[in-house]
Amino acid sequence: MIYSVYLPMIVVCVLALVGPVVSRKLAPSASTRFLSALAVVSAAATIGTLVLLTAGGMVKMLPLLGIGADREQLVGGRDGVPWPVGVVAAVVLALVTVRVFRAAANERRTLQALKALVEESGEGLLVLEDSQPYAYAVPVGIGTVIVSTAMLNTLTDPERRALLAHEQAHLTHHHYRYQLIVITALAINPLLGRVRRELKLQTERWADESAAQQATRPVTARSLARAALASAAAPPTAMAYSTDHIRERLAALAVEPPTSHWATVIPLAVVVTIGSAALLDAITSCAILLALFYP
Amino acid sequence: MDVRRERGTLEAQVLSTLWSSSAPLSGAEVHEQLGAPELSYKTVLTVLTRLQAKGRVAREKTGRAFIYRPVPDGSAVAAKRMASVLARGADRSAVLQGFLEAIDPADEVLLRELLSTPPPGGTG
Repeated sequence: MIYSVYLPMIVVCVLALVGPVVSRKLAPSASTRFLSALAVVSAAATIGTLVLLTAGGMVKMLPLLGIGADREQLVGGRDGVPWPVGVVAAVVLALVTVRVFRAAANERRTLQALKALVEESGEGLLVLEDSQPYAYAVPVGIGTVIVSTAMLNTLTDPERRALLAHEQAHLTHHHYRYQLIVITALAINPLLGRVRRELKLQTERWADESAAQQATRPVTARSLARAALASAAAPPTAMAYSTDHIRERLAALAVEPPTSHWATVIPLAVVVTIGSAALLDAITSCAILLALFYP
Repeated sequence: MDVRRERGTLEAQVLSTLWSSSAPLSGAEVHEQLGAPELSYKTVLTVLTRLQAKGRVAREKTGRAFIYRPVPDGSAVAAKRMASVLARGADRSAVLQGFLEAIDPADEVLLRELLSTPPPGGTG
């Protein structure tokens, strides 16, 4: 158990680093699902390891506090988790819980605010008269696309079609679900920051591909470029945080639709299998230890 | 993939068609541009009438036919609500999927270059 309990964390580190690179070899829809699965596995391994370390550490610590001291010799000779590690794990576990609740509360607040905005409409497309250029998809009810008149006015007719198809694709393919999964996983394990950014790109790419099916690739690219320039010209408000995804999205639209190369996923699948086996081994050891201590 | 599901509800489809055109459209033009041949012309007219009753569409008479123009939600309350949602940084949230994020100034050159090339098929 002494090693098997730490191995899953190494696997999570590998996944967080290599996962976003491998995901580039997949088509956007496959990539999105792959990254979400990776986030779930990583989050589960993180929680599992923390729980094991906490439990293992407590077993060692309780006799020190005079609880169950008579059973100490049963545990003493066996490998286990040093009690300070157990304490740290318990503290981290508490922090993780707080982070998850915070993330959930944040999403809830945003959803409530958007509900108030969308409920009056109910048609699925809400065009707001606004001098700020924006376009969003909101998963409230049947799903609503919110676009400002400023955004529509910068686009030609076919480009408008591409924009609306892009936003509709976010709703049709339930992209917020994948985002929720990864945001929760990121709250559990901050190492998944790159996975979250990559997932954001892949859902946008997925929606771009849907838009391109309806409005052609060049028109979708032009729509994207024009919208980006309009947003850049507008006073920086909420769009002030920067990533350079636009370059990648335009490059992808300039070539043929992508196909998935699943072979690149195999090494990661092997790593995950090893990690799972280690976690299982650690759980078994912990269970044996607990059974000894509390017969 | 089901085309109709892909494009959302019927009302959203009709509204999208109207908003994708800078000129007002007649009922027949909406029907044609919807790209959903399984829908009857009558169904499209019913949706247009419903949207008109809700104030989302304005109807005008030109000659003998009616033409339809989409009407934006002009309420200051709605725009303010949206601004407050965005100001909280909600575009980083899972429930708000945006079209794009802020761009690097260096990318502006690339974007202008792309737009300066003639549009494909002269439709842009």
